[in-house]
Amino acid sequence: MADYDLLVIGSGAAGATAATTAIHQGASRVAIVEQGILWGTCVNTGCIPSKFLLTLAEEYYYKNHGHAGLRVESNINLEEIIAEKDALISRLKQKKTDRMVTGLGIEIITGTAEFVAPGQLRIGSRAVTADRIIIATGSSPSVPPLTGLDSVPFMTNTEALNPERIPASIIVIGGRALGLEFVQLYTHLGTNVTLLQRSSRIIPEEEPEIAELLTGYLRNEGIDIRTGVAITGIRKTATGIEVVGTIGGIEQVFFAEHLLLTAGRSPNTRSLHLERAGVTTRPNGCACRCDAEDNNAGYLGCRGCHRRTDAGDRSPVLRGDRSPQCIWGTETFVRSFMHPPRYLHHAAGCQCGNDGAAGPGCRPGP
Amino acid sequence: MKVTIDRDGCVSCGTCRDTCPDFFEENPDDSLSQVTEKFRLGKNPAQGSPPKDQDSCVKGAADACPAEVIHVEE
Repeated sequence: MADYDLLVIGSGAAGATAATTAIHQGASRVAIVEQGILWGTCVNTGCIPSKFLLTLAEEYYYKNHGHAGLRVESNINLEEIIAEKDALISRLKQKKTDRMVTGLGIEIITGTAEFVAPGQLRIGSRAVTADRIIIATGSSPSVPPLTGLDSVPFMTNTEALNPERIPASIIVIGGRALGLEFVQLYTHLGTNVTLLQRSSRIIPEEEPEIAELLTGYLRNEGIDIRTGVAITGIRKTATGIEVVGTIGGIEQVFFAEHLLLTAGRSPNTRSLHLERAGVTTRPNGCACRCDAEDNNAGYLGCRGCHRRTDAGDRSPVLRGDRSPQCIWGTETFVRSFMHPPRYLHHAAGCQCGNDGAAGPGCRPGP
Repeated sequence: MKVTIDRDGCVSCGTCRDTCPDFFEENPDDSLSQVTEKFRLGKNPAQGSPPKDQDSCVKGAADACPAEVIHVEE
C-alpha cells in the first residue's frame, strides 16, 4: 500500500484546493509537500498583499485627486503599512494552517520533491509513495535575456511588495496584469512611473478596446506608458538605472531610480524530474504531457502554459467539478500556472474582473 | 448547508469560482465573488445553499480561499 492516498506538490491555491477537495471526497491520507513558504503566491506575494497595498494607496491618492478644489493633508508611514500587510498575511496563513492541518488532518511535508518513478518521490532523504500525485508547484518571476540586466539591481513583484522607501521614480518592464498592478500602486504612492511594454499595447491578451481604455486612464494618472519598445541595453548610473530601447526604430533612453521586472513567469518544475513520472516538458519547463491524457482523464493531461482554455488556465486552481476524475482517475497530473490570478483594476472608467472580456466583467463605469 | 461570503474581504482571486463554478461566480459590477442566483438564499448574493452534489466542492472552495472569507455552516 502506498504511503498516501494523495500527495500534492505545492501548497498554493491550486494545491490547497486539490488537497481539501480530496478530503471532502473521502480521501484520508493526504499530504502537501512544500519546499518554500507555506500557502503559496496568493497569500504571500500575490493577491492578498497587492490588494491590501493597492487599496491603501488608492485611498491616499484619491484624497488629493478626486476633486480640483479638494486638498486633504495626509502622509504615509511606509514602515507601519508594511507591518500591517505582514500581520494580515500572518493572520491568514495561521487560519489556513489551522483549517487544513488541524481541521482536516492534511499533513505538511517540508522539503523539495523529485520523482524517482511514477507514484514515487524522494523528499530530501525520505522516500514517499502515493496512489495519486498532483503537481501544483506554480511559477516564479522570470528574468528576460536583456542586455545589461545581469549587471544592474532590479526588483521583481516579491521585492516590490516590500519597499524600504517610496522611490522617486521607477521603470516597470512588462505591461500585463502583474505589471499594471504595480504601475498603479507606485503611482498612487507618489512615484513617477515609466512603463515599457514590448507589445504594441498593454495587456495584449485582452481585447484592444480594453487596453486602449486602460491606457488612457493610466496616462491620465500620470503614468508614462511606452509600447512597442525593443530594449537594447540596461546599465547602472550614479543615481539609478538607465534603459535604452527603440520605438519604431528610434532610440530612446529612459531613466529611473529603480527597475521593476514584471515580464513573465516560469514554471517551478525543473527540480521535479518530471521525466521520471512520464511527464515531458517544453524547453521552458512547462509540463505538456502526462499520463492523464493517455488515461482519458480528459482534463489536466496536456496543458499549454500560455494557452487559454475553458478551464481557465490563468487561474491556479483545479476546477472542483472536474477534480474527482482527475484525482481518482489518473496517477499523476499536472497543472502549470504561468499566470497569477487576473487583476481587479480600479479605474473610474473600467473595471476588469476575471473574465477580462468586454462583456459583463468589464464595463464602462458610471 | 448555509454558505456566507464576507464579500468585503474578497480579493477576487477566483479560487472559489474556479473550484466550484456552478455555485460561485463573479459579480459583474464589483468583480467580487458571489453565489450564483439559483443557489442564493433569498436575494442575497453573499449567501447560498448548495445542492448535495456540490457539498464537497463548496467546502473545498471555502477551505482553499486565500482570504478566508467563505464561511460554511452545516
